[in-house]
Amino acid sequence: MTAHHDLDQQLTAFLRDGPDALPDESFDAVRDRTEQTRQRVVIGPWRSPTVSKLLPIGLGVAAVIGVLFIGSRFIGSPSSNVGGPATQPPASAAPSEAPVSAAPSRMSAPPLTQIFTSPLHGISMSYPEGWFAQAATQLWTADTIPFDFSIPQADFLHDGEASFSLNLVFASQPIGASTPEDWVAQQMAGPEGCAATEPITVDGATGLIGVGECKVAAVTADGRGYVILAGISPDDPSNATTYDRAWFEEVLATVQLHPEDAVEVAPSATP
Amino acid sequence: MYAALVEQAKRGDREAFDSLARQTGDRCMAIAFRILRDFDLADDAVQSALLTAWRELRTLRDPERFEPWLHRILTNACYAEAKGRRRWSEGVRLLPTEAEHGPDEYASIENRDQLERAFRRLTVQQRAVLVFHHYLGLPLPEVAARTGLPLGTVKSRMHHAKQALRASLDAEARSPGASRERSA
Repeated sequence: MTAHHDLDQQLTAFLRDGPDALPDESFDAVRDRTEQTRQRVVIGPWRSPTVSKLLPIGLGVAAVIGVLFIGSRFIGSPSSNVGGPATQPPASAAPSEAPVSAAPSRMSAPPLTQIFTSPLHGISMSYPEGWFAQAATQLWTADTIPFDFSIPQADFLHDGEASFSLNLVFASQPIGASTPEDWVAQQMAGPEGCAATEPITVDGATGLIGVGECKVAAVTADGRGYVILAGISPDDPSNATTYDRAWFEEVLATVQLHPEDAVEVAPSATP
Repeated sequence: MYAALVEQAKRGDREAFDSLARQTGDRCMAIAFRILRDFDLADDAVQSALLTAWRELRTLRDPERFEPWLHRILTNACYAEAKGRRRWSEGVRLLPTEAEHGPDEYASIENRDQLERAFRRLTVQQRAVLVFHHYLGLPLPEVAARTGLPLGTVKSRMHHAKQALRASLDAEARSPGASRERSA
Protein backbone atom coordinates (compact mmCIF):
# COMPACT_ATOMS: atom_id res chain seq x y z
CA MET A 1 0.00 0.00 0.00
CA THR A 2 1.41 3.39 -0.87
CA ALA A 3 2.04 6.20 1.53
CA HIS A 4 -0.43 8.28 -0.40
CA HIS A 5 -3.12 5.68 0.10
CA ASP A 6 -2.32 5.38 3.81
CA LEU A 7 -2.74 9.08 4.39
CA ASP A 8 -6.03 9.06 2.50
CA GLN A 9 -7.33 6.26 4.66
CA GLN A 10 -6.19 7.89 7.88
CA LEU A 11 -7.75 11.14 6.81
CA THR A 12 -11.04 9.48 6.01
CA ALA A 13 -11.06 7.69 9.37
CA PHE A 14 -10.06 10.88 11.18
CA LEU A 15 -12.85 12.87 9.58
CA ARG A 16 -15.42 10.28 10.58
CA ASP A 17 -15.00 11.36 14.19
CA GLY A 18 -16.83 14.38 15.45
CA PRO A 19 -20.28 15.77 16.11
CA ASP A 20 -22.89 15.29 13.44
CA ALA A 21 -25.89 17.02 14.94
CA LEU A 22 -26.85 20.65 15.30
CA PRO A 23 -28.24 21.35 18.80
CA ASP A 24 -31.98 21.86 19.05
CA GLU A 25 -31.51 25.34 20.45
CA SER A 26 -29.57 26.27 17.32
CA PHE A 27 -32.45 25.15 15.12
CA ASP A 28 -34.74 27.22 17.34
CA ALA A 29 -32.43 30.22 17.02
CA VAL A 30 -32.48 29.94 13.23
CA ARG A 31 -36.23 29.73 13.28
CA ASP A 32 -36.47 32.82 15.47
CA ARG A 33 -34.15 34.73 13.19
CA THR A 34 -36.03 33.79 10.05
CA GLU A 35 -39.15 35.20 11.68
CA GLN A 36 -37.39 38.55 11.73
CA THR A 37 -35.76 38.28 8.31
CA ARG A 38 -37.40 39.01 5.01
CA GLN A 39 -36.57 36.94 2.00
CA ARG A 40 -34.80 38.85 -0.70
CA VAL A 41 -37.13 39.84 -3.47
CA VAL A 42 -35.08 39.19 -6.53
CA ILE A 43 -34.68 41.80 -9.18
CA GLY A 44 -33.61 40.53 -12.56
CA PRO A 45 -34.47 37.49 -14.59
CA TRP A 46 -35.81 35.41 -11.75
CA ARG A 47 -37.86 38.04 -9.98
CA SER A 48 -41.45 37.30 -9.11
CA PRO A 49 -43.99 38.48 -11.67
CA THR A 50 -46.03 40.53 -9.21
CA VAL A 51 -43.03 42.54 -8.21
CA SER A 52 -41.79 42.88 -11.77
CA LYS A 53 -45.02 44.45 -12.94
CA LEU A 54 -45.67 46.76 -10.03
CA LEU A 55 -42.21 47.99 -9.22
CA PRO A 56 -41.53 49.94 -12.45
CA ILE A 57 -44.96 51.58 -12.20
CA GLY A 58 -44.30 52.55 -8.60
CA LEU A 59 -40.89 53.87 -9.40
CA GLY A 60 -42.24 55.80 -12.36
CA VAL A 61 -44.96 57.43 -10.26
CA ALA A 62 -42.46 58.23 -7.53
CA ALA A 63 -40.09 59.77 -10.07
CA VAL A 64 -42.84 61.97 -11.51
CA ILE A 65 -43.83 63.11 -8.03
CA GLY A 66 -40.18 63.77 -7.24
CA VAL A 67 -39.69 65.86 -10.38
CA LEU A 68 -42.86 67.86 -9.73
CA PHE A 69 -41.88 68.40 -6.10
CA ILE A 70 -38.39 69.57 -6.97
CA GLY A 71 -39.66 71.67 -9.86
CA SER A 72 -42.22 73.47 -7.73
CA ARG A 73 -39.57 74.38 -5.16
CA PHE A 74 -37.28 75.85 -7.78
CA ILE A 75 -39.98 77.65 -9.74
CA GLY A 76 -41.32 79.23 -6.57
CA SER A 77 -37.95 80.60 -5.60
CA PRO A 78 -36.79 83.90 -7.13
CA SER A 79 -33.16 82.83 -7.04
CA SER A 80 -32.72 79.10 -7.69
CA ASN A 81 -28.97 78.86 -7.41
CA VAL A 82 -27.32 79.76 -4.14
CA GLY A 83 -29.75 82.35 -2.83
CA GLY A 84 -32.25 80.10 -1.11
CA PRO A 85 -32.86 79.99 2.60
CA ALA A 86 -30.23 78.22 4.62
CA THR A 87 -32.79 75.85 6.02
CA GLN A 88 -33.76 74.65 2.59
CA PRO A 89 -31.06 72.47 1.13
CA PRO A 90 -30.76 71.83 -2.60
CA ALA A 91 -33.28 69.24 -3.71
CA SER A 92 -30.69 66.82 -4.94
CA ALA A 93 -29.01 66.79 -1.56
CA ALA A 94 -32.16 66.26 0.51
CA PRO A 95 -31.58 63.02 2.39
CA SER A 96 -35.01 61.52 2.61
CA GLU A 97 -37.86 63.97 2.89
CA ALA A 98 -38.46 64.30 -0.81
CA PRO A 99 -40.38 61.27 -2.09
CA VAL A 100 -37.71 60.34 -4.59
CA SER A 101 -34.96 62.51 -5.95
CA ALA A 102 -34.90 62.60 -9.71
CA ALA A 103 -31.14 62.86 -9.59
CA PRO A 104 -29.42 59.55 -8.90
CA SER A 105 -27.64 59.24 -5.59
CA ARG A 106 -24.53 57.16 -6.16
CA MET A 107 -22.53 58.13 -3.15
CA SER A 108 -21.83 54.76 -1.56
CA ALA A 109 -20.96 52.38 -4.39
CA PRO A 110 -17.44 51.16 -3.80
CA PRO A 111 -14.98 51.98 -6.58
CA LEU A 112 -14.37 49.41 -9.28
CA THR A 113 -10.82 48.75 -8.24
CA GLN A 114 -10.60 44.98 -8.58
CA ILE A 115 -10.19 43.18 -11.87
CA PHE A 116 -11.54 39.72 -12.54
CA THR A 117 -10.41 37.63 -15.48
CA SER A 118 -12.50 34.59 -16.21
CA PRO A 119 -10.54 31.37 -16.54
CA LEU A 120 -13.13 29.94 -18.93
CA HIS A 121 -15.27 32.58 -20.53
CA GLY A 122 -12.88 34.96 -22.26
CA ILE A 123 -13.94 38.06 -20.38
CA SER A 124 -12.48 40.37 -17.79
CA MET A 125 -14.03 43.27 -15.93
CA SER A 126 -13.52 45.57 -13.00
CA TYR A 127 -15.65 45.06 -9.94
CA PRO A 128 -16.20 46.81 -6.63
CA GLU A 129 -13.57 47.02 -3.98
CA GLY A 130 -14.21 44.53 -1.21
CA TRP A 131 -16.28 42.15 -3.32
CA PHE A 132 -15.45 38.48 -3.70
CA ALA A 133 -14.96 36.41 -6.83
CA GLN A 134 -15.90 32.83 -7.58
CA ALA A 135 -14.85 31.67 -11.00
CA ALA A 136 -16.87 29.33 -13.17
CA THR A 137 -15.68 25.76 -13.06
CA GLN A 138 -17.69 24.32 -15.91
CA LEU A 139 -18.46 25.32 -19.47
CA TRP A 140 -21.83 26.72 -20.34
CA THR A 141 -23.34 24.47 -22.97
CA ALA A 142 -27.09 24.75 -22.42
CA ASP A 143 -29.13 27.13 -24.56
CA THR A 144 -29.77 29.59 -21.78
CA ILE A 145 -28.27 29.96 -18.36
CA PRO A 146 -30.06 30.12 -15.04
CA PHE A 147 -28.49 32.83 -12.94
CA ASP A 148 -28.33 31.03 -9.63
CA PHE A 149 -25.09 31.85 -7.96
CA SER A 150 -24.67 28.19 -7.16
CA ILE A 151 -24.29 27.16 -10.77
CA PRO A 152 -20.73 26.28 -11.68
CA GLN A 153 -21.05 27.47 -15.29
CA ALA A 154 -21.00 31.19 -14.51
CA ASP A 155 -18.44 33.50 -13.01
CA PHE A 156 -19.81 35.12 -9.89
CA LEU A 157 -18.73 38.33 -8.17
CA HIS A 158 -20.50 39.16 -4.93
CA ASP A 159 -20.51 41.63 -2.11
CA GLY A 160 -19.53 39.48 0.86
CA GLU A 161 -18.04 36.16 1.78
CA ALA A 162 -21.38 34.94 2.99
CA SER A 163 -23.51 37.57 1.34
CA PHE A 164 -24.95 37.55 -2.13
CA SER A 165 -27.21 40.59 -1.98
CA LEU A 166 -25.26 42.36 -4.69
CA ASN A 167 -23.69 40.35 -7.44
CA LEU A 168 -22.51 40.20 -10.99
CA VAL A 169 -22.96 36.92 -12.87
CA PHE A 170 -21.67 36.25 -16.37
CA ALA A 171 -20.87 33.47 -18.79
CA SER A 172 -20.18 32.91 -22.46
CA GLN A 173 -20.53 30.25 -25.11
CA PRO A 174 -20.02 29.88 -28.87
CA ILE A 175 -23.13 31.01 -30.70
CA GLY A 176 -22.77 28.15 -33.16
CA ALA A 177 -25.11 28.31 -36.12
CA SER A 178 -27.22 31.12 -34.65
CA THR A 179 -26.91 34.61 -35.98
CA PRO A 180 -25.68 37.11 -33.40
CA GLU A 181 -29.10 38.76 -33.41
CA ASP A 182 -30.92 35.48 -32.81
CA TRP A 183 -28.55 34.41 -30.06
CA VAL A 184 -28.85 37.72 -28.23
CA ALA A 185 -32.64 37.73 -28.63
CA GLN A 186 -32.80 34.20 -27.24
CA GLN A 187 -30.85 35.20 -24.14
CA MET A 188 -32.95 38.29 -23.52
CA ALA A 189 -36.20 36.38 -24.01
CA GLY A 190 -35.53 34.11 -21.06
CA PRO A 191 -35.20 36.46 -18.13
CA GLU A 192 -38.40 37.59 -16.55
CA GLY A 193 -38.99 41.33 -16.79
CA CYS A 194 -36.49 41.80 -19.61
CA ALA A 195 -38.89 42.00 -22.53
CA ALA A 196 -38.01 45.64 -23.22
CA THR A 197 -34.48 46.06 -24.51
CA GLU A 198 -32.31 48.55 -26.28
CA PRO A 199 -29.04 48.26 -28.19
CA ILE A 200 -25.76 48.39 -26.35
CA THR A 201 -22.11 48.07 -27.22
CA VAL A 202 -19.77 46.35 -24.78
CA ASP A 203 -16.07 46.54 -25.63
CA GLY A 204 -17.01 47.02 -29.27
CA ALA A 205 -19.39 44.09 -29.34
CA THR A 206 -23.02 44.83 -30.10
CA GLY A 207 -26.07 43.39 -28.43
CA LEU A 208 -28.98 44.26 -26.18
CA ILE A 209 -29.46 45.47 -22.64
CA GLY A 210 -32.65 45.33 -20.60
CA VAL A 211 -34.60 48.49 -19.99
CA GLY A 212 -35.63 49.60 -16.52
CA GLU A 213 -35.03 47.18 -13.68
CA CYS A 214 -33.70 44.42 -15.91
CA LYS A 215 -29.95 44.56 -15.52
CA VAL A 216 -29.02 41.98 -18.12
CA ALA A 217 -26.85 42.52 -21.18
CA ALA A 218 -26.15 40.07 -23.98
CA VAL A 219 -23.59 40.69 -26.72
CA THR A 220 -21.63 38.68 -29.24
CA ALA A 221 -18.05 38.97 -30.42
CA ASP A 222 -16.22 36.81 -32.94
CA GLY A 223 -18.76 34.03 -32.81
CA ARG A 224 -19.01 33.98 -29.03
CA GLY A 225 -21.98 35.14 -27.00
CA TYR A 226 -21.75 36.77 -23.59
CA VAL A 227 -24.44 37.33 -20.98
CA ILE A 228 -23.80 39.62 -18.04
CA LEU A 229 -26.24 40.19 -15.22
CA ALA A 230 -26.29 42.40 -12.14
CA GLY A 231 -28.33 41.03 -9.27
CA ILE A 232 -29.28 43.79 -6.86
CA SER A 233 -31.23 43.15 -3.70
CA PRO A 234 -34.00 45.67 -3.08
CA ASP A 235 -34.04 44.88 0.63
CA ASP A 236 -31.81 47.85 1.24
CA PRO A 237 -33.68 50.78 -0.35
CA SER A 238 -30.45 52.61 -1.09
CA ASN A 239 -29.45 49.83 -3.49
CA ALA A 240 -31.95 51.08 -6.04
CA THR A 241 -30.11 54.37 -6.41
CA THR A 242 -26.59 53.23 -5.64
CA TYR A 243 -26.56 50.20 -7.93
CA ASP A 244 -28.73 51.59 -10.66
CA ARG A 245 -28.62 51.34 -14.42
CA ALA A 246 -25.82 53.91 -14.59
CA TRP A 247 -23.74 51.81 -12.22
CA PHE A 248 -24.34 48.71 -14.33
CA GLU A 249 -23.26 50.60 -17.43
CA GLU A 250 -20.18 51.78 -15.53
CA VAL A 251 -19.31 48.15 -14.86
CA LEU A 252 -20.02 47.21 -18.47
CA ALA A 253 -17.69 49.97 -19.62
CA THR A 254 -14.83 48.13 -17.91
CA VAL A 255 -15.57 44.84 -19.64
CA GLN A 256 -12.97 43.47 -21.98
CA LEU A 257 -13.97 40.62 -24.23
CA HIS A 258 -11.26 38.26 -25.39
CA PRO A 259 -13.09 35.40 -27.05
CA GLU A 260 -9.78 34.02 -28.24
CA ASP A 261 -8.95 33.14 -24.62
CA ALA A 262 -12.22 31.40 -23.89
CA VAL A 263 -12.18 27.67 -23.36
CA GLU A 264 -13.88 26.42 -26.46
CA VAL A 265 -16.64 23.90 -26.66
CA ALA A 266 -18.60 22.92 -29.71
CA PRO A 267 -22.21 24.06 -29.58
CA SER A 268 -24.23 21.07 -28.52
CA ALA A 269 -27.86 20.19 -28.28
CA THR A 270 -27.98 20.00 -24.54
CA PRO A 271 -31.25 19.37 -22.78
CA MET B 1 -35.19 15.29 -2.50
CA TYR B 2 -36.14 18.61 -0.94
CA ALA B 3 -37.78 20.16 -3.98
CA ALA B 4 -41.30 20.40 -2.60
CA LEU B 5 -40.17 21.97 0.65
CA VAL B 6 -37.90 24.36 -1.23
CA GLU B 7 -40.75 25.52 -3.43
CA GLN B 8 -42.92 26.13 -0.38
CA ALA B 9 -40.14 27.93 1.44
CA LYS B 10 -39.46 30.10 -1.61
CA ARG B 11 -43.01 31.34 -1.29
CA GLY B 12 -42.22 32.48 2.24
CA ASP B 13 -43.43 29.42 4.14
CA ARG B 14 -41.34 29.49 7.30
CA GLU B 15 -42.60 26.09 8.45
CA ALA B 16 -41.33 24.55 5.25
CA PHE B 17 -37.97 26.23 5.70
CA ASP B 18 -37.83 25.04 9.30
CA SER B 19 -38.32 21.48 8.03
CA LEU B 20 -35.62 21.99 5.43
CA ALA B 21 -33.26 23.36 8.07
CA ARG B 22 -33.90 20.41 10.36
CA GLN B 23 -33.32 17.92 7.54
CA THR B 24 -30.10 19.49 6.36
CA GLY B 25 -28.74 21.18 9.48
CA ASP B 26 -27.14 18.12 11.04
CA ARG B 27 -25.14 17.41 7.94
CA CYS B 28 -24.13 21.06 7.76
CA MET B 29 -22.97 20.89 11.36
CA ALA B 30 -20.91 17.80 10.62
CA ILE B 31 -19.25 19.56 7.68
CA ALA B 32 -18.70 22.84 9.50
CA PHE B 33 -17.19 21.20 12.56
CA ARG B 34 -14.79 19.18 10.46
CA ILE B 35 -13.68 22.29 8.62
CA LEU B 36 -13.45 24.60 11.62
CA ARG B 37 -12.50 22.05 14.36
CA ASP B 38 -14.48 24.10 16.87
CA PHE B 39 -18.02 23.34 17.95
CA ASP B 40 -19.08 26.89 18.69
CA LEU B 41 -17.64 28.32 15.49
CA ALA B 42 -19.30 25.53 13.53
CA ASP B 43 -22.61 26.19 15.24
CA ASP B 44 -22.36 29.89 14.35
CA ALA B 45 -21.40 29.09 10.76
CA VAL B 46 -24.36 26.77 10.30
CA GLN B 47 -26.81 29.26 11.77
CA SER B 48 -25.39 31.98 9.57
CA ALA B 49 -25.58 29.75 6.49
CA LEU B 50 -29.17 28.73 7.17
CA LEU B 51 -30.20 32.34 7.66
CA THR B 52 -28.48 33.34 4.42
CA ALA B 53 -30.20 30.44 2.68
CA TRP B 54 -33.58 31.66 3.91
CA ARG B 55 -32.88 35.22 2.78
CA GLU B 56 -31.52 34.22 -0.62
CA LEU B 57 -33.76 31.23 -1.30
CA ARG B 58 -35.64 32.93 -4.12
CA THR B 59 -32.43 33.19 -6.10
CA LEU B 60 -32.23 29.40 -6.24
CA ARG B 61 -33.69 28.41 -9.57
CA ASP B 62 -33.34 24.65 -9.35
CA PRO B 63 -34.86 23.30 -6.12
CA GLU B 64 -33.11 19.99 -6.69
CA ARG B 65 -29.80 21.75 -6.11
CA PHE B 66 -30.75 23.01 -2.68
CA GLU B 67 -28.20 21.02 -0.74
CA PRO B 68 -25.18 21.82 -2.95
CA TRP B 69 -26.29 25.43 -2.92
CA LEU B 70 -26.56 25.39 0.87
CA HIS B 71 -23.14 23.78 1.18
CA ARG B 72 -21.63 26.53 -0.92
CA ILE B 73 -23.14 29.11 1.39
CA LEU B 74 -21.93 27.08 4.38
CA THR B 75 -18.39 26.96 3.03
CA ASN B 76 -18.36 30.74 2.74
CA ALA B 77 -19.80 31.03 6.25
CA CYS B 78 -17.01 28.80 7.56
CA TYR B 79 -14.42 31.02 5.89
CA ALA B 80 -16.04 34.07 7.46
CA GLU B 81 -16.10 32.47 10.92
CA ALA B 82 -12.49 31.43 10.62
CA LYS B 83 -11.45 34.86 9.51
CA GLY B 84 -13.46 36.59 12.21
CA ARG B 85 -12.18 34.50 15.05
CA ARG B 86 -8.87 33.10 14.00
CA ARG B 87 -7.74 30.90 16.81
CA TRP B 88 -5.50 28.34 15.33
CA SER B 89 -2.25 27.95 13.55
CA GLU B 90 -1.20 31.58 13.76
CA GLY B 91 2.31 31.89 12.46
CA VAL B 92 2.74 28.22 11.77
CA ARG B 93 4.93 27.59 8.76
CA LEU B 94 4.97 24.11 7.37
CA LEU B 95 7.95 22.52 5.80
CA PRO B 96 7.68 21.35 2.23
CA THR B 97 8.03 18.42 0.35
CA GLU B 98 6.53 15.08 0.17
CA ALA B 99 9.53 13.74 -1.68
CA GLU B 100 11.39 13.38 1.59
CA HIS B 101 8.87 10.95 2.97
CA GLY B 102 8.77 7.25 2.52
CA PRO B 103 5.82 4.91 2.75
CA ASP B 104 6.78 3.40 6.07
CA GLU B 105 6.56 6.67 7.89
CA TYR B 106 2.85 6.93 7.35
CA ALA B 107 2.18 3.46 8.58
CA SER B 108 3.58 4.52 11.94
CA ILE B 109 1.21 7.41 12.39
CA GLU B 110 -1.47 6.03 14.60
CA ASN B 111 -2.09 8.82 16.96
CA ARG B 112 -5.26 10.65 16.13
CA ASP B 113 -4.10 13.68 18.07
CA GLN B 114 -1.18 14.10 15.74
CA LEU B 115 -3.50 14.15 12.80
CA GLU B 116 -5.75 16.59 14.62
CA ARG B 117 -2.87 18.97 15.19
CA ALA B 118 -1.64 18.60 11.65
CA PHE B 119 -5.13 19.16 10.28
CA ARG B 120 -5.58 22.31 12.35
CA ARG B 121 -2.42 23.72 10.85
CA LEU B 122 -4.00 23.66 7.39
CA THR B 123 -5.79 26.71 6.11
CA VAL B 124 -9.54 26.60 6.40
CA GLN B 125 -9.75 26.56 2.60
CA GLN B 126 -7.55 23.46 2.45
CA ARG B 127 -9.63 21.78 5.14
CA ALA B 128 -12.84 22.46 3.25
CA VAL B 129 -11.57 20.68 0.17
CA LEU B 130 -10.44 17.69 2.22
CA VAL B 131 -13.73 17.50 4.12
CA PHE B 132 -15.88 17.55 1.00
CA HIS B 133 -13.74 14.92 -0.65
CA HIS B 134 -12.79 12.64 2.22
CA TYR B 135 -15.74 13.05 4.56
CA LEU B 136 -18.62 13.46 2.12
CA GLY B 137 -16.90 11.32 -0.50
CA LEU B 138 -17.65 13.78 -3.30
CA PRO B 139 -15.75 13.62 -6.59
CA LEU B 140 -13.51 16.59 -7.25
CA PRO B 141 -15.78 18.33 -9.80
CA GLU B 142 -18.55 18.32 -7.20
CA VAL B 143 -16.11 19.58 -4.58
CA ALA B 144 -15.35 22.41 -7.00
CA ALA B 145 -19.04 23.20 -7.32
CA ARG B 146 -19.63 23.22 -3.57
CA THR B 147 -16.62 25.32 -2.74
CA GLY B 148 -17.00 27.68 -5.67
CA LEU B 149 -13.51 26.95 -6.95
CA PRO B 150 -12.20 25.98 -10.38
CA LEU B 151 -11.44 22.28 -10.63
CA GLY B 152 -7.76 23.00 -11.10
CA THR B 153 -7.68 24.99 -7.88
CA VAL B 154 -9.39 22.16 -6.02
CA LYS B 155 -6.79 19.70 -7.28
CA SER B 156 -3.97 22.05 -6.40
CA ARG B 157 -5.42 22.80 -2.98
CA MET B 158 -5.87 19.10 -2.30
CA HIS B 159 -2.29 18.41 -3.30
CA HIS B 160 -0.88 21.16 -1.11
CA ALA B 161 -3.09 20.21 1.82
CA LYS B 162 -1.85 16.66 1.80
CA GLN B 163 1.70 17.81 1.32
CA ALA B 164 1.33 20.06 4.34
CA LEU B 165 -0.24 17.27 6.37
CA ARG B 166 2.63 14.97 5.56
CA ALA B 167 5.19 17.62 6.43
CA SER B 168 3.46 18.38 9.69
CA LEU B 169 3.17 14.74 10.67
CA ASP B 170 6.78 14.18 9.78
CA ALA B 171 7.88 17.17 11.83
CA GLU B 172 6.00 15.81 14.82
CA ALA B 173 7.51 12.39 14.38
CA ARG B 174 10.99 13.92 14.48
CA SER B 175 10.37 16.22 17.41
CA PRO B 176 11.48 15.19 20.94
CA GLY B 177 8.78 13.29 22.78
CA ALA B 178 6.90 12.46 19.66
CA SER B 179 7.27 8.74 20.12
CA ARG B 180 6.01 8.95 23.69
CA GLU B 181 3.07 10.97 22.50
CA ARG B 182 2.27 8.44 19.84
CA SER B 183 2.32 5.56 22.24
CA ALA B 184 0.27 7.36 24.88
